[in-house]
Amino acid sequence: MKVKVALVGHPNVGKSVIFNNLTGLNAVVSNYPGTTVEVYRGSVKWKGHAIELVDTPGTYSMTPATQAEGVTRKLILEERPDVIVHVVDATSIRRHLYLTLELLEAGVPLVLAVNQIDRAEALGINISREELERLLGVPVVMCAAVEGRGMEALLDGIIEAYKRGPPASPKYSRDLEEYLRLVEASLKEGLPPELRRFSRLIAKHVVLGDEEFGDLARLVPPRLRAELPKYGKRLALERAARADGIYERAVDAGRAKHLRLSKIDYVSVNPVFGVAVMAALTLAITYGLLGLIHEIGHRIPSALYYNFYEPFVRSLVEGVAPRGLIHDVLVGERAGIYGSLGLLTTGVFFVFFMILPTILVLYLILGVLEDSGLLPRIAISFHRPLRRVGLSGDAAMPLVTGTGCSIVGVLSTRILRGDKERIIASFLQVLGIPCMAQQVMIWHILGRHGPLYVLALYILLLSVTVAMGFILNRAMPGESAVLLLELPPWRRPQLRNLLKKTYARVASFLRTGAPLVFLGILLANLAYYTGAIAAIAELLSPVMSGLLRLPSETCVALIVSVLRKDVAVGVLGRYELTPLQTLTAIAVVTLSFPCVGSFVILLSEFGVKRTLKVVALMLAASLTVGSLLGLLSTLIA
Amino acid sequence: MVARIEGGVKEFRRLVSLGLAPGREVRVHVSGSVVVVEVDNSVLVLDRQLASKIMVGDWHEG
Repeated sequence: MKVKVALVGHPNVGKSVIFNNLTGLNAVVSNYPGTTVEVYRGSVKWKGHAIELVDTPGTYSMTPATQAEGVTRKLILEERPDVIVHVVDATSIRRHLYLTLELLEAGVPLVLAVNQIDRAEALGINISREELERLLGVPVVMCAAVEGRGMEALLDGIIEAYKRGPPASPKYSRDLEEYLRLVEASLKEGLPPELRRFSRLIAKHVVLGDEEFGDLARLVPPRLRAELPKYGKRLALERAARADGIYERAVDAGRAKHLRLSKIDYVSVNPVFGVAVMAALTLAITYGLLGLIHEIGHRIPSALYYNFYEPFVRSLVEGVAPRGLIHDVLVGERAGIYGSLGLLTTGVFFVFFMILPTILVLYLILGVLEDSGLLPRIAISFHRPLRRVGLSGDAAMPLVTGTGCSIVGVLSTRILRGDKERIIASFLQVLGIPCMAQQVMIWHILGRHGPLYVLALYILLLSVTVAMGFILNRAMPGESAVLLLELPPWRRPQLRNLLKKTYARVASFLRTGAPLVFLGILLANLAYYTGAIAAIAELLSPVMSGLLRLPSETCVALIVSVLRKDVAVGVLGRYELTPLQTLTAIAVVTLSFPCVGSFVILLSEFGVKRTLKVVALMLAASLTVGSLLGLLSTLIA
Repeated sequence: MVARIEGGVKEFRRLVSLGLAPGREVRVHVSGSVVVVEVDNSVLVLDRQLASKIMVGDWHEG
């Protein structure tokens, strides 16, 4: 028999460890439909049952505050799992019971998995499994997932819950129940037929002021509507009081000690030292990582590519198709990584020699930061400055990673909670944060006019980035992230967990991102082959010389920047430009358009419409900055 | 002890679902531009603005 199971719980309670313990290497990660939130799926066979597991994003409540929490609720309401496993942390079980009570109201068979029981026992917290089972009316399983303890009992618990069916929903005080009944009755007529069976649950969400059901509040008669906030608070309070009652009867925490914060915790919350220390730490990690990537993920593959791969592939293709469209599409007209634009040359190099090794190392490091508990501490330090541009502290790591490669930076925005935050973070890094290779070229080309010009360029890019962040934050719908996060305890990352997470993420890139990179290369190749590039260069010449005060032939750099910005900056070295013209050209190249790799990743992450808006904004910013610098150039001349 | 929570129902339910419900014991570790509190063996970090909605003191049920 097939049983679909959703693992639900607060962030950092060990859901992923349980998921990895129960599933083999068959786990796949994908974005939940219509969102950019990752959901992991896997399967396990147990006593004649085929159990399909879904590891949902961490959530504190069934009334969501973030996109990730919204995905968990959507998954429960729309996919209707056969069983929900609510994973709770035994050391802080009282805080988790609020969600347990909400899940009991979802009308789905439930198992309570009390994880980290070993840590709770060490802290002097004793939990009575039998009493919890009696009070909640669902199977309760004690486990220590990191040690693999309790996994078989959990599988048995899933089958037992499946056989028992949905548990009884908790009852509240008489007047609250009566109020909920009246709200439910007023909503029922206005609900679509497929939602009528959830009318009780939806009534509770309307009472709690859930934005997703905000329109339904209009169906509630004015007299009842006026009391929604009062009863919303009552409902939350009665749930918390019931959770307290269960806790007091089933848990003995008499000897439990208070927690002690580590020194790094105190540093991370300091408004001055926190930002300075964490910025230094983040840059050290990132640049250390980039150094590693440069050595492992670039030099060695480059040597392999030039010495073995390209000559072999080129001779093979030329043996079959010595010239013509097929030849040029496969290996390009010319040799070289950037010059050829062939699918088997540039395409294979980009995907397998450059991006793949980079994201492999990056995802491993990100996994260590996530699992060790360092990432939330970095997030706290950066929260205040980033909040001004609509980002939360969580965006610090992807932004810094973007200084290495914006493709990887955009991909790492997946750790962010909301769509608005992901788009702003991705946009800012493709707009004003040059990739590592481009930074090397900037120092080489602009640096020869003096370091002050390089400094001026960085100040200019930073100003444009911050200004665009302000504008986007105000223009985009959605709320700015508020700092309210749980600081997980320091933990040693589990290698098995890290490898599985990295494997699933890399496989996801190969499935969804890599084909788009090949498509981008193919389009650029065909544009050259058909002569479209030359026509574009002709078209752009008046803008370059008229508006930006640059020699018309420098438009080649702008066109090349679509493929590689580092190469585009290098191309500028061929022309006789004044220092200000060089600065203008590099600023325009940086701000004008994401490189083809970033563009296809933006397409895969955010879709065509939002990516085109990002490009339009970049072009507007680029033309504005370029025109102002051009004007300055004229005034100085 | 959390005595009461001010503000709208949205903030109220969010804080309660995180464990900051009236009647719960809290221990303040840091009170600056961000506030760090311990509740039920967990550490929560809040904006000062959000933390200012949580009133601490004696709590009386009902």
